[in-house]
Amino acid sequence: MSEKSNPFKGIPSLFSRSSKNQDAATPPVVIADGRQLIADSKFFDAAWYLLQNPDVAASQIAPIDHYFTCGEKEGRNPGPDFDVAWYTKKYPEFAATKVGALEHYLRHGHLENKSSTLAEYRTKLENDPRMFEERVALKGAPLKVYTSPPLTRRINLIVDTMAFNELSTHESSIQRTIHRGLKVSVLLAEATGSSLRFVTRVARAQVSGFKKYLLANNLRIPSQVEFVYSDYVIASASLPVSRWDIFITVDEANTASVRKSIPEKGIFVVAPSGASEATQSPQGHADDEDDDVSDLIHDLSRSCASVFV
Amino acid sequence: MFSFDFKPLHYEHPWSVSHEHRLSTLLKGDIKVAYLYEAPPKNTFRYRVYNMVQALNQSSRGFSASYFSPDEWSTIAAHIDEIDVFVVSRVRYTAELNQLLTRARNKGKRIFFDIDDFLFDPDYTHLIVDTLDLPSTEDTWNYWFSLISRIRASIQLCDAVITTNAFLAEKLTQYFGKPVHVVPNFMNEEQIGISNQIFQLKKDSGWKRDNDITLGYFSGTQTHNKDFEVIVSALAELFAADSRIKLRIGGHLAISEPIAKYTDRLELLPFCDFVNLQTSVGKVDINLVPLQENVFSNCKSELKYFEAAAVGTVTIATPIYTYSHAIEDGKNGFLSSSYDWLDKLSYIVAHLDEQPSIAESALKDCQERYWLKPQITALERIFSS
Repeated sequence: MSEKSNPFKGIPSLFSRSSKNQDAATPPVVIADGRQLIADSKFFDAAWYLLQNPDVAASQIAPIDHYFTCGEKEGRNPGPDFDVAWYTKKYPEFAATKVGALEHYLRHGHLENKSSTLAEYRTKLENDPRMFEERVALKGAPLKVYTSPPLTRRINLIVDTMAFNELSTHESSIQRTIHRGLKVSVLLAEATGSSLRFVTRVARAQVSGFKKYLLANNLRIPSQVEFVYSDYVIASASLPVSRWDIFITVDEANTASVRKSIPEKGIFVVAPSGASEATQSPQGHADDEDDDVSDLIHDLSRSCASVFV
Repeated sequence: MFSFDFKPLHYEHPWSVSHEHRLSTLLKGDIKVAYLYEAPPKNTFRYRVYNMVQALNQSSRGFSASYFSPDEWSTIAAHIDEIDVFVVSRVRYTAELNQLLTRARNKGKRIFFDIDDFLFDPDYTHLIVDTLDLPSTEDTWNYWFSLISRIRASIQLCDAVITTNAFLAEKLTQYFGKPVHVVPNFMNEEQIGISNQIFQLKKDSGWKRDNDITLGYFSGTQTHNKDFEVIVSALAELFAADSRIKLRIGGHLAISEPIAKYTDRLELLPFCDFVNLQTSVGKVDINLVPLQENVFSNCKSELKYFEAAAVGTVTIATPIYTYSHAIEDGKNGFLSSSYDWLDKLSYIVAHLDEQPSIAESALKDCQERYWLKPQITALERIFSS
């Protein structure tokens, strides 16, 4: 098999603790015995299993026998790198087969690019080109919201990530775009007397450096800021919304997601600024960008007035 | 962590007293106040019933009080002519409650409802369920819509309301249009007794501590995952930056990803009674009270602040209504906005030598506002009027 056509290229071996009968140079063959397949896989860690399950340690039953006969059925994990509950929930189709979750993964799942844990799935979504369509579908799914009585006017910024210590350097175009969304959100909240809610969907916001970032960009510190991590992979947090919520988006995927849940008049899509961005420095922004944002805030404030009624 | 030795005290629920004893206590005074509560007793019972009854029974103005669960209300009904005041503590509507209160009202008795949470407006049920991070199941919705609607119905049977703070009082006034009185949560004699000893031990030792810096998060219930989420990224950065930092967790909490890896620096305390809990709180260097900022959280009381202050532990809290009114930032504790936790915690860790004076200020403040004695007068005023 040529390297180019090898579909398993880049996939780590599932059999790091190779069977004594196997030649290390030859790829693993499918072993008919599920118990042996699991025992030989890198996902079964007998020491870890005993540590996590003191009752098994006390029972004197061999860990592999316990896991294979009843442990997995009881929802116990074979090691730190395989999550039985997550795999079962994520790939419910495997339940129709007669084998357990780990055995299914070893025989079929890994060949189908399935993931053994949520963490691995998340990494693949962000980095594996084969997962692109799935990623787009998940990110474009309707933002999880529910209606709650209106209490305060609120400006919401929806972005993938937010790390203020990194944002202050504006190195990448993504950071510059997020920076622009932040600046518009903070200024708009100030102009309309609204509170702020920053929602990240790929990673939890790194909030340290927030005040320094605001000061470096001549922005006032808002009185109330809420940070919410609404993980797009597992749709972890549902956002309370009312007719007094304005949503600001800066990228296509999150805009698509917000549009499915929020009325159009409550969504402001902030496009990246023009060539002036290239002149931005860590200390602040070029005057022409300030003018640009100032005009934008003026326009958006007027739009907000029709929403905040 | 603070270095002091204090042997665990033998604990029995101080409110486990026979019905006969409670009834005779109630009937002793000139102004008899009967508290009606729902079994089994939990935190709300302790703060809003047991402590109030303890305070009233220490009054020198002829008050006597006691508490009764639904299975005892028929006995109470037999003494209805002798009782002057009924206080319904967060009891859900039932036919039996309605019947008892209808009879009491017809006899000219005064009826109060005591509530310490924003649990009376069904429009906010989803927000509350979400804030508490509860699963969206049939059981969840049935329980919470029922709870809130039934509490609302019970409040409507009463003449006036007693609550814990002015923010919640305003919500109650707007919703029901009835008179609302504020009596904050406060420490009972049992808590004060053990806390005084622990505070003195710490003071006598010169506020001696070991080399670790232990943060404490005492959630108590399983419903604070989202509150803790407010500080997760700050804690993760603090753990990474300073190997002395540890976290002691009292209560149930889902430990999320960024700090779950520091297993050797996390300490999960087993369940503890409210008296001996004071020792655990007294041991930690900083008491963490992060909260989501919404209408439900803003109705919460400041009890996490004064429970820690009583044992000389400094609190850092989200500036919701009560904490922003109780804590003067840097003087008797610390306040932190959602984005400020790392900076504030780093400051506190770098200035541990300032802790004793802050702890002394906090104790003095709490003795004036959240100790049993000052609240006796407040209760006397409400029930005399």
